[in-house]
Amino acid sequence: MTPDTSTRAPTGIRGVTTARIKWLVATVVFVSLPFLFSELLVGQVLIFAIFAMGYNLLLGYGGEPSFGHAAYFGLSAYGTVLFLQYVARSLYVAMLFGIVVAVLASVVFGWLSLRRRGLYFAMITLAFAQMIFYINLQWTDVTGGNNGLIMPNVDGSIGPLDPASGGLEFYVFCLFFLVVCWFGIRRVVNSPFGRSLQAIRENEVRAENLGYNTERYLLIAFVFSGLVSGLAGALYALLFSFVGPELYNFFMSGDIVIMTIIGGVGTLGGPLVGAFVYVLISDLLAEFTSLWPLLLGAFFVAVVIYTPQGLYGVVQELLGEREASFDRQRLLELFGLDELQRED
Amino acid sequence: MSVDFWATQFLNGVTLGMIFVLVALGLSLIFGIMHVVNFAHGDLLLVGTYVSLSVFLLTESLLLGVIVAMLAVGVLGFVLEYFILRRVDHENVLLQLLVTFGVAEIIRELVQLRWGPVGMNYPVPDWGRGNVDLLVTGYPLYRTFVIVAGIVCVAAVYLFLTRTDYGLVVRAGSHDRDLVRTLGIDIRRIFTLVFVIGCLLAAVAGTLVGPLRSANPELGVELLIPAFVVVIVGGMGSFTGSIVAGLFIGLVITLTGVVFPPAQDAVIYAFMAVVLLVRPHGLFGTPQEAH
Repeated sequence: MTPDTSTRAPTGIRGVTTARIKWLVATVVFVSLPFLFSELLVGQVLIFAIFAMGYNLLLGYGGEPSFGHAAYFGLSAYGTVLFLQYVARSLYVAMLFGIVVAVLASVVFGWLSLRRRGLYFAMITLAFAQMIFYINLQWTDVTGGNNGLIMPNVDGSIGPLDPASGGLEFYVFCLFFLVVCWFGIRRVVNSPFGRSLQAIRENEVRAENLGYNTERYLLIAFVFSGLVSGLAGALYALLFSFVGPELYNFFMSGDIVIMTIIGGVGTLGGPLVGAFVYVLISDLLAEFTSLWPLLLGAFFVAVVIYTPQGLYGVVQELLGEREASFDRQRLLELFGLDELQRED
Repeated sequence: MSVDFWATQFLNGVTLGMIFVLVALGLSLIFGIMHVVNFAHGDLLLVGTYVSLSVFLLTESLLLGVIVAMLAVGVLGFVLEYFILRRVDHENVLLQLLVTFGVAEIIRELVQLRWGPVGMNYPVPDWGRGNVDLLVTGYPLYRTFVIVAGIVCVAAVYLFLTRTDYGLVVRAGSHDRDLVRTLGIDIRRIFTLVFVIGCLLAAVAGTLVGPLRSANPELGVELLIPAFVVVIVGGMGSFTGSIVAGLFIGLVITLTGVVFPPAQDAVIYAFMAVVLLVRPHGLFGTPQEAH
């Protein structure tokens, strides 16, 4: 269900619509997942899928590569735990508080970072995330510094279900948010706002000349992705009942870029596939060999070199949803010289 | 808090700043012509640190260490550019950035495999242990050496850029690489050349910084991100900008460390935010280069 396919249903293998095939696969995967892998692993899969989907709104649809989205993820996770510790033992209010913190931070940092585009934007977002990381590390009285914080025990019962108790209940809770994000983001992407955003991605100067306030559109996309990242962060705090400085760091920001890219940037399903593949593969590799980061890095480089459209892009090509290398061409236009000459 | 105390702190700032200058100059050169933000730069530096340490421990000669480190990092950079970056379309800067990010991870893992995940002590060479008398204050000889070596490297790059034919092509390419290509010059070879020069600078920086800090696998990233701040503040692709901003950032970090230690690591990012507000294209960048 990419924006390309939403208006017409392409017929794939033997006349079955590809959308139906994908829904079937997704249903089977989501139902079987909690029975195949450990609680923590499937929780992470869903959380990173949400995170990557939110991130993709900025990178994939807005066309701006942030290298600092760990900041909003981490701020929300810490916000949730700190609220529980100091204000009130109410899980959902705390999560909401965490998300609000992430949104506020993304407004400020987004506004500052969007003074530049492209590669500069990437480095500026990275620098702000580092600032948060170091403040977090030094402010030990509040954040626990290097030791992190343990989340107080809370009761999060909604009727008979308590997501805070972990297990299948947490999984269902996360899945609920994943589905909400999926439909929410699809709605946003296909809305007039989303269309304008993609127009800005394709050619910002042209959009500007047409009268769009491009900076405001990009800022809204930035804040929206900050919001979804914040949701993922709050869920992460709940899953582990613990937050540590590694939530903020450079590698977390990089991981989310990697997931989005290997899945397929600028498609709805891509980040989902990317998060699944990345989290599951790294876990499987970690079980077999201590060399797993090395192999993962090599896998990532290979994906970038050989299939710049991502794994989901390959699936789409196989299903005949779009011409081969379509996205590659678009990526070239997006981040190529066109971009560098944008403000000339 | 006497004069000699502040003089010493000032020189400490310059020493750290020199390291940033060398890292940022490489980054800036590579960006200027290739439009690639090299995320592997920090980890190439890391290889320089460990290789020179190994040679130094073996032979007691830091000079030999830095030469071998330059060879090793230079070859590594050549392999990275020639065999990997060339396979990614060079007009597609985001994919190039991502490839360097992935390669950085691979290099860091290899370094940890060879030298272990725990840091190693990097001793100051015997000849660098004394103090130099600088009128107002005595200053450790090794740190003075770092400053001098940094100046020599910067001068070498400057002479290369202004006094050689290759340097001329590099400068022209930074200005308009398409025009250079139309003149029949193989821009890809220039890319490789500039990338390797950046790597050599990283190797020197990696060696020089070794005895100041210790060798550990995080060192590359720890230096790379402040170096990004340097190039943003100085203006991407600007030679003067890298030098002035590098020294300045070094001073800001060191002096903040004296006045208010907890803010030491975070302060430069706040400083960068202010610069972006006032001059979005950096102190020495021109608005045309402000993409």
